[in-house]
Formats: sequence, structure tokens, C-alpha cells
Amino acid sequence: MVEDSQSMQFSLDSRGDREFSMKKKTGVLIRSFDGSWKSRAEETGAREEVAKALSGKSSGNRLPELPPLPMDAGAILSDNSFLTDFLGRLALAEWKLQFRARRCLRAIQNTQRQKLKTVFSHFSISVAFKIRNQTEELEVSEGSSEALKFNLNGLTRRINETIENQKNRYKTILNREIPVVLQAGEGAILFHEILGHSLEADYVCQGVSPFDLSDLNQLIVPPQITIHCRDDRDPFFKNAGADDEGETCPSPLLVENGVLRRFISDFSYQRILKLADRGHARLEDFSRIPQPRMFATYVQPGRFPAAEIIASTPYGIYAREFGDGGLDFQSGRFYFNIRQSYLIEKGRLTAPVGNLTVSGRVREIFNDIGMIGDDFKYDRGVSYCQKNGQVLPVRVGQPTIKINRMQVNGGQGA
Amino acid sequence: MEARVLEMVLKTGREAGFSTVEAFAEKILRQDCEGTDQPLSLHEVQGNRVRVRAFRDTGDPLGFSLSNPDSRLVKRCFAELAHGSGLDGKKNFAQLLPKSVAKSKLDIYDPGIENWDKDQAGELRERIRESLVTFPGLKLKKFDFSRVLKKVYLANSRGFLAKYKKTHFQVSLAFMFKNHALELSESRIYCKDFDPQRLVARGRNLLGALGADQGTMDAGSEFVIMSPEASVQVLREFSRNLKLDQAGPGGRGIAASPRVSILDNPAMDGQSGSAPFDDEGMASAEKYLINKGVFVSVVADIRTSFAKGGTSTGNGFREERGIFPQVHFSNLYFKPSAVSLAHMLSQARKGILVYLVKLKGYGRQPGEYVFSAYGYFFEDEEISRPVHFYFLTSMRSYLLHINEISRELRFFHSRVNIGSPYLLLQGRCDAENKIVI
Repeated sequence: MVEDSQSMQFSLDSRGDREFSMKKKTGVLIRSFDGSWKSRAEETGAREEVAKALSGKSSGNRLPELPPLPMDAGAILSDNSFLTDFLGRLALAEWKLQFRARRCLRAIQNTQRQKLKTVFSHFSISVAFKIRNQTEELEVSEGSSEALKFNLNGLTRRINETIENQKNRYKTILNREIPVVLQAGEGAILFHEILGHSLEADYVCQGVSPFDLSDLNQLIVPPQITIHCRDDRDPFFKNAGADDEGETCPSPLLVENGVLRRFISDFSYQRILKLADRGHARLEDFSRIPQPRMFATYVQPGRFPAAEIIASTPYGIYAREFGDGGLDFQSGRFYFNIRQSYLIEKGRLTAPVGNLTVSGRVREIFNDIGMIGDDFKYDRGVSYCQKNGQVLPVRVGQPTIKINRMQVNGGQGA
Repeated sequence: MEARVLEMVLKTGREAGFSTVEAFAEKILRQDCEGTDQPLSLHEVQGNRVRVRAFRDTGDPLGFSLSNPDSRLVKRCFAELAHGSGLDGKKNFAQLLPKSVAKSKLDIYDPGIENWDKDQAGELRERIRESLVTFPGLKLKKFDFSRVLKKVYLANSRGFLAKYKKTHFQVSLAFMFKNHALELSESRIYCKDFDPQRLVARGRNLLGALGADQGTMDAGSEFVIMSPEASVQVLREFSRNLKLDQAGPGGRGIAASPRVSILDNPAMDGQSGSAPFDDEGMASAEKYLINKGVFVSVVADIRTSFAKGGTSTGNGFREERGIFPQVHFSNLYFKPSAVSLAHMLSQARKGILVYLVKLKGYGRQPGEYVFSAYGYFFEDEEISRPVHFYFLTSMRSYLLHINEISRELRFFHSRVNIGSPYLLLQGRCDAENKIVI
């Protein structure tokens, strides 16, 4: 595999500090399998060197040029002056605006498959800020695989909402099991974290996942749940049709009507576990080892309108913005931070509540899924996943989903 | 060779109109061996990266990072920076970059790395497997061994030019006992310093504790002895308060028992956080952050100290993916005393010896943390059954309640190298069966 990547990062903050940097990384990863892997990765630098490394002696095997990234901080600032002016007017204690762009081209060639190339671009904006006299850092972000252009009106509306919610938080401490309604879109990061990682073949092989090979083609979650790991209508991974071993998963079905259809696997674990397919080998860059990883997790829509789901909840939490989460295989439990949420009282969203943590046992939580909405949405394009030190962008999507019972902790004291 | 590349970068930068340029080059040879039951796989990485920070007469620095660059690519990057970065009239900190560094003899290189081969990793795996027989039911589920040879070169256009090389070995294991799994890792500068029996015993100890149900404790005071590993986990969570970029003004709220001293010391032989100078060229030196219970200072890099006032403590290090240095600890640790663990056990007579701590969440008050802890009850110097409990504390309260510190200093490396001896603390069990420290 040959990789040629560029990235750019530009930030500015309320003190006037700016940081502009760019990165170009080029290298080659050569692997061979003979019962065990032997691989060598080299940071080669010049593109000509890469071509040479790819094709042995000849330099005929050229990498296509990467389309340039936006590198003009002045232009970025002027394109987003609406947002900087808006932040300046808010009288916040401090704020930091950060733009990121990355484009990565990978050419993969192996002894079993044809040569292929994948290109993945990712652009993001994030605004981190603190309200005066408060210590908590708040963040609003958005991403895209198309261009460094964002819905600035949408961002300012979300910043306003976040500030209002933070100021008007309902003073309550929650420490109980209650219904949780996940907003359409980002909420699927829970499914990525809880189910996706549990189905990764390396964890299954090590015996640490709550699932094992006997679960294949068995009902593992309630039958109303169908989860896809690919969606050809979604532009996010549209030019990255294959995994980092050059393989494409033959079907988008991960879970079909509650039945587990496949594990998330790469070449090695497909052989070790004798799985039918693979197509989920991912690496952060050419210097890393591919691991079984999710690209995307799409929970398919059900039949309930979102309003009906909320109306059916006498008391609970409506989760809107999600923070970090994790899966603890040692205890079989997961936890997730909910950065922004509302109380649901008598079937209506009432007051915003502070930072919450939801948690539960991996296999049990799915049995508590009550209603699945008909309003499928993709996330905002800024979902990331970390595994063994490798950070990758992932995509998630879901409709509004109600979980009848979930342990909720946190909030803010009166 | 690298010196020539750095000189080329500095020269090209000046030609592009930058008044001060800093170039940081890292040549890395990393080998990872992995495999539990199968033959070991080998992954070799040759990294060759130059990271550049460039200053104009005014304004914040700009930067780029390149793989194995040639002069053409460097020239293009400087041109792109000069063109695209916008203008900013603020005074910058280029004049604070050092011009030279005193030579130091730091023992952070294992010459044995030159003769290393994959069989040595296989041999370590076998010795770990052999040690498993002492603990029936304990299984090895993952073996991962990595060795890294890193050569660092740093130059700036104020005349600084220096280099060092460093080795780093790491073994990561996953053990399983009954239904519990546990991952642990250890890092060393010298490969020979790994002790397979100790690694296995550590895994068994931790897994034994993990099997405990939540224990019932008597209300009232409770002695808790934190093992070095558990103590390091807690210090890791609190440590942000000891960094200038994240601490409140003047170390607000930091105080500790008179027995507590916390240091950051990049000049320790044989430690993975050590370096003769930081990534900005500031010489390494031991510094007290808390001295006998009194807050003294926080760690800082040049940029943050310039922005917030003060001087760099030589703690500007670049993260693996970063271009600009950030404030980072080198080797952060509790200063050990002369007291043994045995003495501590007899002093406390009865309590809990904690082996594993995980952050569970936050308390009701700002700065309060809830930790989930696993360990064993002890009484009259005898360790008895495992116990799981939660404890609630803040940094200030935790440090103030340390009654004793032992002499057995051990370091654990996970992004940051943090060390601790055993700590004896006194808490109070509340009505919810939670220990409040």
C-alpha cells in the first residue's frame, strides 16, 4: 500500500493567538503473509520514491496528484468572518475556533486482487468555548467529506442553544434507570461503540467480546433492529470503497432483523476464525498495522414518528449531543457522556439538564430498545473512534430511538 | 546527514522571509511483534520526519511537517506558509528559543538494540507462558512487543544544534482469568529489564481483585493503601492541574500533606520520559511541583510561559501527530520515602490495599472525581479477600489525606511516564458504602 496524504490545521482564539500548520506524509507499507504477517513501512518522502517502492524498479506506476487542500488562512478567515464576528459579540470567557482538512490517497496492490485506489477527504470545524464564570468547556463541531464549507447559520444556532442550555440547566442530580430517547443522527455512536466494537473479530478471537462465533446467524438483538455497515447513498466514504487491504465487504448487512450476519474482520482474523468475509481492515496511516474496524454504523429506520416517541415517554431524557464513550470488556459494561440533553416530562421536552453519563451492560441494553423512529439522519460528520492508539473518522446514522431503561448519572446540584 | 537536512531547512526558511526557524527531525525504527498462539508477526516501521516551526518578526509561529523531505518540497512548504498564513502583528516568542544546551550524560539508550532479532520477542513470550503455570486458570490472550530506536535532532536559526538517541521497549499483554480480561503493559529503556514472572504475577493480582463483588465496609474511617499502579492512575487524572496550559491561576487549590512531594524530572537515567533537552531545546532538570506539601510550580513550555507569564521548565514536547510542541510531563512522580510497604501495613493494621483504579465519573462539586477501585482487604499484615468499592475525592483532598509514602517507586508509561510508591491514605466510609477521601 502506498499512501500520500496532506493535512492542514488552522486555529484562532479569543486572545488573538493563531496556529497554522500543514503536514505532508508519504510512504509505503509492504506486507506478506506466510502463516504470520511480516510487514515493513517506510516514510519515503518524495512521490517519485513512492512510485519506485510500489513498482519495484520502474517508476511507471505513478500516483495521481492529490487535489490541493485549502491552505490560505486569510481566505479561510474571510470565508468564516460571520462566525468570528458572532463569537466576538457573545462576550464569552474564551473561545477557540479550529479548522481541519485532510486528504489521503491510498493505492493498494496485492497478489490476489487488482490494483485499486481510495481517496478520503475530511474537513471539519470546531468551536470550543467557555461561558463567563464557568469552568466547563463546551464544544460545537461539524464535518464534511466535500469541502471546507460549513453551515455557519446552523453552527451559530447550535452555539446559541448550547449557551442557553448551559445557563438554564435544570438543577437536578440523576442517579437512576430511566427511559432515554436518542436524537436521530449522532446517537448511533452508541451502537458503534457498544455493538460495533463487540463484533470486531480480534476481540472475538481474544475471547473478551461478549459475543462469540456461536452468535453468527443467531438473534442477538430484538428483531426490530437492522444495522448496516455500508450505505451507498452516503457521500462520506464514497471514494473509499474498499478497506485498507483492498477488500470490500460483500453486503451492507451487519445485523438483519436482530440476527447477526457477520463479524467485523480483516484478512488475518478471517483466516483464524474461518469467517465468510472481511472488508473491515483499517489503519490510521501506512505506518500502522491494519485492524478490524468499523467504517460506518447505520441503524435502519422503524415506523414511529419522532414526536410520537417523545410523547410516549412520561419521564426520561432526550439525548442530543454526545461526548466520549467507551466499552469496558473487563466488566462487560459501556458508558457514554451526553453533553447536551433535555428532560422529558409528561411526553414533552421541558428543561435542559447538565452533563450526563449513561451506562449499562452490553448485551442487555438492546433488549430495552422500545421504539425506533422513521426519521433516519446521518451524523454531523465529526465522529471519531480510537482503538489501540489509532484514531479514525467513522460515520454513524440512525433515526430517533427510545431505550426504555438506561442507567443515567450526572446532572448538576441545586 | 540529518544536520545537513536541518541546515537546509533553516536556510530555506530564512530565504523565504522567516526571521527565526526551528527544525526538529526524528528518525524512528520501530519493530512490533504480535501473536498469542500463532507464530509472531513482525511489523517494521522506518519513520523519517521533519517538523518545522517558523517565525516572522511578529505574529504567531507557523509550522509544517514532512516525510523525508528534499529541498524542493521544503521550499514549496515555506512558500505555501508565507503565502497563506495571513498577517498578525503580535509580538512572538522566537527570541526565547535557546542558542545552546549543556551536554548531559543521560542513560536512555540500550546498545543491545543493535543486535536485536525477532527471536528475542519469541523468547520473552515463552518465558511469560512458562510463568503462567504458577497461576492455574490464568491465560495469555494477547502478546505484543515493540522496540523503538529514536534519533532526535533539533536545530534553530539562533545557533542551536543538538541530538540524542533513545531506546524504548514495551510489552503489552492481555490476560484472562475466569470471565475477566485485563490488558497491561510495561515500558523499559533496557530490554533485559523485563521480568516475565513479575508481569504475570501483576496480571494475576489485578485479575484476582477484578473478580470481587462490591464490598460492604463498616461506616467510619478506613485506611486505604494505593499500590504504585493504582496511585499512578489517580495522579494521571489530577496531573492536568500541574500543567501551565491547564492549571488555574497560581495553582489555585493545590495543597498537600507535608509528606507529599511531586516532581517532574526529565534527567532520570533509564526512564522512558527522559531526554537531555525538550523539543524546544531547553535543558532538562529536576523540578519540584509540590515540595513537602507546598505548591511550588507547574510545568511549562516556551509558548505557554510566554503567553501566561513565567519561564519554560523544559517541558515542551511534540506529540506523535503534532507539529508544535505542547506542555508535557517527562517523568512525573511522587518522591519516595524510606518507609517500606510492610511498615505501612503494620501502621494501618486494617484496611484495603488497592491494585487497580479506574475513573468512573465526576462528583457533585467541581473538581470531585469518583473512582472505581479493586483491591484486597488486609488485617494484621495479612492480605485477605478481594474487594471492589468506589471512592470520591478531589485532588486537594486526596493529597492532603496521604499519611505515608513508601520507598518502592515504580513507573508506568501510558503516553506519560508517571511513577509512585505505595501511598497510605485515610478516608471515611459514607452511608452509600463509598469511601470519601
